[in-house]
Amino acid sequence: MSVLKSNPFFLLFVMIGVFELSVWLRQKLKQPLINPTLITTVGVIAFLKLFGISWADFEMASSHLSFWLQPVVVCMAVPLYVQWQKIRSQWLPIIVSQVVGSIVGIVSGVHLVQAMGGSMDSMIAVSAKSVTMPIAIEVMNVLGGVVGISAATVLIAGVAGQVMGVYVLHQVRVRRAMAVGLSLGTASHALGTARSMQMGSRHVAYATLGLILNGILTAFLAPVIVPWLV
Amino acid sequence: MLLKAVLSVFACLFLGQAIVTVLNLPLPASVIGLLLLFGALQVGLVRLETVEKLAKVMLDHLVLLVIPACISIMQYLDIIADDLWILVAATTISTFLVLIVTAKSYDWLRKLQKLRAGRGL
Repeated sequence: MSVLKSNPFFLLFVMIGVFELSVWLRQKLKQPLINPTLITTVGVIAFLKLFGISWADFEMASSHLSFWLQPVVVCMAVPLYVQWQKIRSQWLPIIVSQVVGSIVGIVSGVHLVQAMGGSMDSMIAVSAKSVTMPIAIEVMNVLGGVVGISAATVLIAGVAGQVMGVYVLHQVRVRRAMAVGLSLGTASHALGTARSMQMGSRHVAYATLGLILNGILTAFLAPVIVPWLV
Repeated sequence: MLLKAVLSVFACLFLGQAIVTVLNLPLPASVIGLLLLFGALQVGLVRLETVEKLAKVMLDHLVLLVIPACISIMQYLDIIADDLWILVAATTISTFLVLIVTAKSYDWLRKLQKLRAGRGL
């Protein structure tokens, strides 16, 4: 019986099934705030707990997918190259604002957790919160942090930017498409980019750029800055 | 064609791993691989048509690939519960700070750039 429960095809079928169902639900209800990542995460955790399936069994099954995490990061070179051709004249403002954004993201996150009395694991985890998940996982491996806790902060940063980001930017009088798109991608990675899709293709292009550049810069900066902070 | 793309990506990953290992850098091999593929596209070593399709398929399914990492949260529910409000507050405030400084510094630098171009400097 336990052989059936830990069968990788069955476990992946459940995970992808729940994901497909939540994507279908989002389209059906035309509600962009329905978050398939969140629903699938909570749904599958509940399912595993309910049937007494261990994380080790699920990890075995999911390793067939996780293999592609590194290739997917390399593939980000393609949209980066395509966008780069279009924005070459503005490379300096973009790169400088990205470096500033990455450093502020790492330092403010770690300091805030420290000030509120969070654990060492939480401090390290929060340093990669604005980074797209495949790169955040890698950053945690380099820093010796806990991927699970970091994944939680990545989700929180994503949802915060997706739901409140545009409002926050309006409050500080940022309205230009480029600045809004770029910073949504920088601060809230894929979910910020998803939010920018409601605004138009130019926003998406800039959000994608912000997502990729923040990932690269944080991968370089976090291993230097974090040990120095904690 | 798709195989050529897979070959290019795997080559970049292997070279990235080799660079990280040999130079003993505290960097993810995949990020070095990303930069290598970007460079290869820039200098024309790899053509955009070769890798375009694979990249689209892979990036369209990015979310599915990262869900197992989200599910791994289940092992740390007690640690996360201890620090839950700290993590939520610190992450949210820090996210808004990143939004504001990125947007503001970009806006400001872009203005400066346009001013200088206008003066023909």
